[in-house]
Amino acid sequence: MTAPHPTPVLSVTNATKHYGELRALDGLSLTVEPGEIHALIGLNGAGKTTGMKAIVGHTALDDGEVTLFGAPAATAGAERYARLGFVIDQPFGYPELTVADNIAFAVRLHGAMAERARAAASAWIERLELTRWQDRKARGLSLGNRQRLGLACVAAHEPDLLILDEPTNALDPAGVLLLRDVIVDAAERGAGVLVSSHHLDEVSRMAHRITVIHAGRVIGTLEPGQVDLERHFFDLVRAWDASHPVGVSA
Amino acid sequence: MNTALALAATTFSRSLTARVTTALLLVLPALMSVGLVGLARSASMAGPSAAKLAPYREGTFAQASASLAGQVVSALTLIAVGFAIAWLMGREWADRTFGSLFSLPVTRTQIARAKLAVVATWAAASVTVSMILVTVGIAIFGDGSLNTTTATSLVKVWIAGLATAALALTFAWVAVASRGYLGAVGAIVGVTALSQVLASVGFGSWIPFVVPALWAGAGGPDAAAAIGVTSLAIVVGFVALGLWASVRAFGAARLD
Repeated sequence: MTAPHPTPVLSVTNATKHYGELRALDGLSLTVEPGEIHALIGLNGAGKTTGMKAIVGHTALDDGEVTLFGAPAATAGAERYARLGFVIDQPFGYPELTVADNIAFAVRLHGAMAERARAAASAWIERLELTRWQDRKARGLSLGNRQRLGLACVAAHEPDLLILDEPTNALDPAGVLLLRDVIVDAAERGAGVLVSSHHLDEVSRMAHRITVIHAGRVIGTLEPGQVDLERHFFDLVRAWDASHPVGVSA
Repeated sequence: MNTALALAATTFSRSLTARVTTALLLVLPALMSVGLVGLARSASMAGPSAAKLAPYREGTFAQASASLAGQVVSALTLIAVGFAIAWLMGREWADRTFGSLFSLPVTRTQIARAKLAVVATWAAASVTVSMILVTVGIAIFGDGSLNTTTATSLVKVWIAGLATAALALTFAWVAVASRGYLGAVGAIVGVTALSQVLASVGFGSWIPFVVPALWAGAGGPDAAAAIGVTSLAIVVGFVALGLWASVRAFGAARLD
């Protein structure tokens, strides 16, 4: 007798999206299981960010389906949305609010009461080493610290699904280590993590599954931890391009 | 306080926009309506300036100030409240914070309603305090000319100010439709100019942004008499439609 499969925390099925003539998503399908770190890698314009934007509702799909915790994403409701945290494009942070206030409001927006939100803000300020800047307004932070703030804002309510679009972009090495700890800890407590990155070595180190996105669709997977990940990645991309000479691009 | 209201109130109260528009709304009406009438009646006034201020020497000090307040309060309220709501709505795009408001237990519709409620409350309080300052100014500098008739005029100016504030909230829709506050700022300038032109050629009773000021007497007794139930219905309908459309547009907006 086999154990029943757990419901994926996220499922994207045959997602299609056009911007005029441009086909940004072309039948993208993927899942994220509880406790899994699922990394998306691809060239610029491959469809990673568009796919993530479709998941959270930034953009409406032309076709296909997104489910969060087993329910259609568009109508998932407050209870499921409270279990989601994401950073796509721009991290959360109102420039005129302090670091502490921004985190507390982000936690409250995910359904927590004010007192719990303040406690979570204090804990995450310490965890992400933002104590020096906790009373500083977000507009006065460096790009890297803004990114740390954004991470705290989406992780402090301990979501069951964390979606991070290129989270290491502006982080220094210390920030990258903190981010990795946050992602690994989230997965260890059972949360699913969907993360996109251009830093293949970082992805290789922590992901349980690596999916290659190209031309708006999944074109293959890579084994985490293998050497020469970049070469395997480009082999996949070139092979797909060679077999689709008039192929669409995202 | 619920989360959407707390967030809107906190971000607005800590903004430069709130500080500047509050100062405009509180200080300028009293300064202009009492100050200009006082200046017009001072013995030192002479030359072209005296001629321009001549209308403010007619009637009692209180009557002249109340009449001037009717013009100043409506125009300033439209601009200040319009700027405030345009910023609070449009900043979500200008500061690129809108994307973080998706897929939350607190919906974008609730957030839009909270923003409108916060600015409406601030505007009502500011207009009220402003009219108290105008009244106190007249009481102090008006040589005892503040009487029941003038007090009634001031109450009408206050109500007109509140109505204009409600009308100004509809610029929220322009901010959402134009994905930022600059479009709404342009619309405020355009509406203010166009309303003056249309009012001057006799269409004021059909223009919602002009109706409150005309009703309060800013256009004279004949223009005030022309404001009836139809004009009132236009104002109420415009505000209701504008608020509904603003909330709906904010809730439905995407980041395509």
